[in-house]
Amino acid sequence: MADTASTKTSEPTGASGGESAGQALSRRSTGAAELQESRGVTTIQDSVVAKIAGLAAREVAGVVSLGGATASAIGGVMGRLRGSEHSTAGVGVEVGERQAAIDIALKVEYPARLHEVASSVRENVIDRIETMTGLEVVEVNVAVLDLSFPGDEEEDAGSQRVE
Amino acid sequence: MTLTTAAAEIAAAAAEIAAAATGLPTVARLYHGAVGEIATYGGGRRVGGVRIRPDSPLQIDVHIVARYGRPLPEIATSVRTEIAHRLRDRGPALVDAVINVHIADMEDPQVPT
Repeated sequence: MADTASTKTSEPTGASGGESAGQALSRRSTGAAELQESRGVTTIQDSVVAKIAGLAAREVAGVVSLGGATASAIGGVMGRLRGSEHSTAGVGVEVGERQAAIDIALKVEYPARLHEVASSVRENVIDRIETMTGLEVVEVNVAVLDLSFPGDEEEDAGSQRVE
Repeated sequence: MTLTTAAAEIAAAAAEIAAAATGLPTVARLYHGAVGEIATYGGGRRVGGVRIRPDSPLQIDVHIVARYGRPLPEIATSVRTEIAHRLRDRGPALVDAVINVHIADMEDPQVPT
Protein backbone atom coordinates (compact mmCIF):
# COMPACT_ATOMS: atom_id res chain seq x y z
CA MET A 1 0.00 0.00 0.00
CA ALA A 2 2.13 2.86 1.20
CA ASP A 3 4.80 2.35 -1.36
CA THR A 4 5.20 5.93 -2.36
CA ALA A 5 6.32 8.76 -0.25
CA SER A 6 5.61 11.51 -2.67
CA THR A 7 2.26 12.55 -1.33
CA LYS A 8 2.19 14.65 1.76
CA THR A 9 -0.45 13.26 4.05
CA SER A 10 -1.94 15.57 6.59
CA GLU A 11 -0.95 14.85 10.16
CA PRO A 12 -3.57 12.60 11.70
CA THR A 13 -5.28 14.08 14.66
CA GLY A 14 -5.25 12.13 17.84
CA ALA A 15 -8.63 13.25 19.08
CA SER A 16 -11.26 10.56 19.50
CA GLY A 17 -11.05 7.14 17.98
CA GLY A 18 -9.28 5.70 20.99
CA GLU A 19 -12.47 4.34 22.40
CA SER A 20 -13.42 2.23 19.43
CA ALA A 21 -12.96 -1.42 20.18
CA GLY A 22 -10.27 -3.50 18.60
CA GLN A 23 -7.03 -1.84 17.64
CA ALA A 24 -7.07 1.88 17.38
CA LEU A 25 -3.96 3.96 17.61
CA SER A 26 -4.37 7.39 19.00
CA ARG A 27 -1.82 10.01 19.79
CA ARG A 28 -1.05 10.95 23.32
CA SER A 29 0.94 13.89 24.47
CA THR A 30 3.59 11.52 25.76
CA GLY A 31 5.26 10.84 22.43
CA ALA A 32 4.02 7.32 22.17
CA ALA A 33 1.71 5.40 19.93
CA GLU A 34 -1.16 3.88 21.78
CA LEU A 35 -2.88 0.65 20.98
CA GLN A 36 -6.11 -0.05 22.79
CA GLU A 37 -6.71 -3.68 23.53
CA SER A 38 -9.36 -5.56 25.40
CA ARG A 39 -7.47 -5.61 28.67
CA GLY A 40 -5.34 -2.57 28.61
CA VAL A 41 -3.40 -0.18 26.47
CA THR A 42 -0.12 -0.79 24.70
CA THR A 43 2.10 2.21 24.11
CA ILE A 44 5.15 2.30 21.91
CA GLN A 45 7.55 5.17 22.44
CA ASP A 46 8.43 7.20 19.37
CA SER A 47 12.09 6.49 20.05
CA VAL A 48 11.38 2.79 19.61
CA VAL A 49 9.75 3.45 16.23
CA ALA A 50 12.78 5.54 15.30
CA LYS A 51 15.13 2.79 16.37
CA ILE A 52 13.36 0.22 14.22
CA ALA A 53 13.49 2.60 11.26
CA GLY A 54 17.18 3.21 11.82
CA LEU A 55 17.98 -0.48 12.00
CA ALA A 56 15.99 -1.15 8.84
CA ALA A 57 17.77 1.62 6.96
CA ARG A 58 21.21 0.45 8.04
CA GLU A 59 20.54 -3.02 6.66
CA VAL A 60 20.35 -1.74 3.12
CA ALA A 61 23.47 -2.26 1.02
CA GLY A 62 25.08 1.03 0.17
CA VAL A 63 24.05 2.74 3.37
CA VAL A 64 27.19 3.58 5.30
CA SER A 65 25.69 5.36 8.26
CA LEU A 66 22.74 7.41 9.32
CA GLY A 67 22.85 11.07 9.91
CA GLY A 68 25.75 12.16 7.78
CA ALA A 69 28.12 14.96 8.63
CA THR A 70 25.44 17.56 8.95
CA ALA A 71 22.92 15.51 10.85
CA SER A 72 23.08 17.74 13.84
CA ALA A 73 22.56 20.77 11.66
CA ILE A 74 19.26 19.51 10.32
CA GLY A 75 18.39 17.86 13.61
CA GLY A 76 15.86 20.56 14.24
CA VAL A 77 14.18 19.92 10.91
CA MET A 78 14.10 16.20 11.34
CA GLY A 79 12.73 16.89 14.75
CA ARG A 80 10.96 14.70 17.25
CA LEU A 81 14.17 13.13 18.37
CA ARG A 82 13.43 12.22 21.90
CA GLY A 83 16.65 11.66 23.76
CA SER A 84 19.12 11.76 20.91
CA GLU A 85 20.42 8.26 21.28
CA HIS A 86 23.06 7.11 18.90
CA SER A 87 20.88 4.53 17.19
CA THR A 88 18.22 7.08 16.34
CA ALA A 89 20.57 9.73 15.02
CA GLY A 90 19.45 10.82 11.58
CA VAL A 91 15.96 9.46 12.08
CA GLY A 92 12.90 11.54 12.74
CA VAL A 93 9.49 10.05 13.33
CA GLU A 94 6.05 11.41 13.64
CA VAL A 95 3.55 8.96 14.97
CA GLY A 96 -0.14 9.57 14.76
CA GLU A 97 -3.31 7.64 14.94
CA ARG A 98 -2.47 4.28 13.36
CA GLN A 99 0.07 5.93 11.10
CA ALA A 100 3.65 7.00 11.10
CA ALA A 101 5.80 9.25 8.96
CA ILE A 102 9.55 8.77 8.92
CA ASP A 103 12.41 11.03 7.94
CA ILE A 104 15.81 9.46 7.42
CA ALA A 105 19.14 11.05 6.66
CA LEU A 106 21.79 8.82 5.14
CA LYS A 107 25.40 8.65 4.21
CA VAL A 108 25.72 6.49 1.12
CA GLU A 109 28.68 4.68 -0.29
CA TYR A 110 29.98 6.03 -3.57
CA PRO A 111 29.26 5.00 -6.35
CA ALA A 112 25.98 3.42 -5.32
CA ARG A 113 22.92 4.45 -7.24
CA LEU A 114 21.34 6.86 -4.87
CA HIS A 115 17.77 6.48 -6.08
CA GLU A 116 17.99 2.72 -5.76
CA VAL A 117 19.46 2.92 -2.29
CA ALA A 118 16.77 5.40 -1.32
CA SER A 119 13.93 3.27 -2.57
CA SER A 120 15.39 0.16 -0.93
CA VAL A 121 15.62 2.06 2.33
CA ARG A 122 12.05 3.23 1.93
CA GLU A 123 10.83 -0.29 1.25
CA ASN A 124 12.73 -1.86 4.11
CA VAL A 125 11.69 0.81 6.59
CA ILE A 126 8.02 0.52 5.63
CA ASP A 127 8.13 -3.26 5.83
CA ARG A 128 9.88 -3.29 9.19
CA ILE A 129 7.79 -0.59 10.86
CA GLU A 130 4.54 -2.08 9.68
CA THR A 131 5.52 -5.57 10.79
CA MET A 132 7.06 -4.59 14.09
CA THR A 133 4.67 -1.94 15.32
CA GLY A 134 1.43 -2.44 13.42
CA LEU A 135 1.55 1.21 12.37
CA GLU A 136 0.85 2.12 8.80
CA VAL A 137 3.71 4.07 7.29
CA VAL A 138 2.37 6.90 5.18
CA GLU A 139 5.65 8.38 4.14
CA VAL A 140 9.36 7.81 4.32
CA ASN A 141 11.43 10.81 3.38
CA VAL A 142 14.98 9.87 2.56
CA ALA A 143 17.69 12.47 2.49
CA VAL A 144 21.12 11.53 1.20
CA LEU A 145 23.34 13.90 3.08
CA ASP A 146 26.74 12.61 2.35
CA LEU A 147 28.78 10.17 0.32
CA SER A 148 31.51 7.92 1.51
CA PHE A 149 34.40 7.16 -0.79
CA PRO A 150 36.56 4.09 -0.83
CA GLY A 151 39.52 4.98 1.29
CA ASP A 152 37.92 6.96 4.05
CA GLU A 153 37.31 3.83 6.06
CA GLU A 154 34.17 3.78 8.10
CA GLU A 155 31.75 0.94 8.72
CA ASP A 156 31.98 -0.02 5.06
CA ALA A 157 28.92 -1.78 3.75
CA GLY A 158 30.85 -4.15 1.52
CA SER A 159 30.52 -4.56 -2.23
CA GLN A 160 28.06 -2.51 -4.16
CA ARG A 161 26.46 -2.73 -7.55
CA VAL A 162 28.63 -0.95 -10.04
CA GLU A 163 27.64 -0.65 -13.62
CA MET B 1 -14.74 -2.05 43.05
CA THR B 2 -12.52 -0.47 45.65
CA LEU B 3 -8.99 -1.32 46.43
CA THR B 4 -8.54 -2.54 49.96
CA THR B 5 -5.25 -4.31 49.56
CA ALA B 6 -2.43 -3.24 51.82
CA ALA B 7 0.73 -1.71 50.44
CA ALA B 8 2.75 -4.82 51.16
CA GLU B 9 0.34 -6.93 49.16
CA ILE B 10 0.48 -4.43 46.34
CA ALA B 11 4.26 -4.62 46.31
CA ALA B 12 4.10 -8.39 46.35
CA ALA B 13 1.76 -8.31 43.39
CA ALA B 14 4.07 -5.85 41.64
CA ALA B 15 7.00 -8.21 42.19
CA GLU B 16 4.95 -11.01 40.70
CA ILE B 17 4.13 -8.82 37.72
CA ALA B 18 7.77 -7.89 37.27
CA ALA B 19 8.79 -11.54 37.42
CA ALA B 20 6.13 -12.48 34.89
CA ALA B 21 7.27 -9.84 32.42
CA THR B 22 11.00 -10.37 32.75
CA GLY B 23 10.53 -14.12 32.52
CA LEU B 24 9.53 -13.75 28.90
CA PRO B 25 12.27 -14.15 26.30
CA THR B 26 10.94 -11.17 24.36
CA VAL B 27 11.43 -8.83 27.30
CA ALA B 28 14.99 -7.68 27.92
CA ARG B 29 14.27 -5.94 31.19
CA LEU B 30 11.91 -3.53 32.83
CA TYR B 31 12.26 0.18 32.34
CA HIS B 32 12.48 2.01 35.65
CA GLY B 33 12.25 5.51 34.20
CA ALA B 34 14.95 8.03 33.50
CA VAL B 35 15.61 8.55 37.19
CA GLY B 36 14.01 5.39 38.51
CA GLU B 37 10.70 7.09 39.12
CA ILE B 38 8.62 4.19 37.86
CA ALA B 39 8.26 1.91 40.84
CA THR B 40 5.92 0.41 43.37
CA TYR B 41 6.79 0.66 47.04
CA GLY B 42 5.44 -1.37 49.89
CA GLY B 43 6.38 -3.76 52.64
CA GLY B 44 9.83 -2.26 52.81
CA ARG B 45 10.71 -2.94 49.22
CA ARG B 46 10.74 -1.31 45.87
CA VAL B 47 9.72 -2.90 42.60
CA GLY B 48 10.96 -0.96 39.59
CA GLY B 49 9.17 -0.76 36.26
CA VAL B 50 5.73 -1.54 37.62
CA ARG B 51 3.03 0.75 38.88
CA ILE B 52 -0.32 -0.26 40.26
CA ARG B 53 -2.85 2.55 40.32
CA PRO B 54 -5.84 2.28 42.60
CA ASP B 55 -8.56 2.84 40.09
CA SER B 56 -11.65 0.93 39.20
CA PRO B 57 -10.72 -1.37 37.67
CA LEU B 58 -7.19 -1.47 39.02
CA GLN B 59 -4.64 -0.14 36.54
CA ILE B 60 -1.37 -1.98 36.17
CA ASP B 61 1.38 -0.23 34.22
CA VAL B 62 4.35 -2.27 33.12
CA HIS B 63 7.23 -0.50 31.42
CA ILE B 64 9.38 -2.81 29.37
CA VAL B 65 12.46 -2.78 27.23
CA ALA B 66 11.69 -5.17 24.42
CA ARG B 67 14.12 -7.46 22.64
CA TYR B 68 14.44 -6.93 18.93
CA GLY B 69 12.71 -9.59 16.87
CA ARG B 70 9.02 -10.08 17.43
CA PRO B 71 6.35 -7.54 16.52
CA LEU B 72 5.81 -5.22 19.47
CA PRO B 73 2.02 -5.63 19.76
CA GLU B 74 2.62 -9.38 19.96
CA ILE B 75 5.18 -8.88 22.74
CA ALA B 76 2.73 -6.66 24.60
CA THR B 77 0.01 -9.25 24.30
CA SER B 78 2.23 -11.99 25.67
CA VAL B 79 3.24 -9.75 28.58
CA ARG B 80 -0.40 -9.07 29.31
CA THR B 81 -1.31 -12.73 29.08
CA GLU B 82 1.55 -13.83 31.29
CA ILE B 83 0.74 -11.26 33.96
CA ALA B 84 -2.95 -12.13 33.94
CA HIS B 85 -2.00 -15.77 34.32
CA ARG B 86 0.23 -15.07 37.31
CA LEU B 87 -2.36 -12.91 39.01
CA ARG B 88 -5.25 -15.29 38.60
CA ASP B 89 -5.18 -16.39 42.25
CA ARG B 90 -4.58 -13.01 43.79
CA GLY B 91 -8.09 -11.81 44.37
CA PRO B 92 -10.77 -10.20 42.22
CA ALA B 93 -9.22 -6.72 42.20
CA LEU B 94 -6.05 -7.98 40.55
CA VAL B 95 -7.78 -10.50 38.34
CA ASP B 96 -9.95 -7.78 36.84
CA ALA B 97 -7.10 -5.30 36.57
CA VAL B 98 -6.37 -3.52 33.32
CA ILE B 99 -2.82 -4.22 32.20
CA ASN B 100 -1.13 -1.43 30.30
CA VAL B 101 2.09 -2.34 28.59
CA HIS B 102 4.46 0.49 27.78
CA ILE B 103 7.28 -0.26 25.40
CA ALA B 104 9.79 2.30 26.52
CA ASP B 105 12.76 1.09 24.59
CA MET B 106 14.06 -1.71 22.45
CA GLU B 107 17.38 -3.44 22.70
CA ASP B 108 19.60 -3.36 19.67
CA PRO B 109 19.95 -6.72 17.94
CA GLN B 110 23.73 -6.36 18.06
CA VAL B 111 26.22 -4.42 20.09
CA PRO B 112 25.57 -0.73 19.54
CA THR B 113 28.22 0.92 17.44
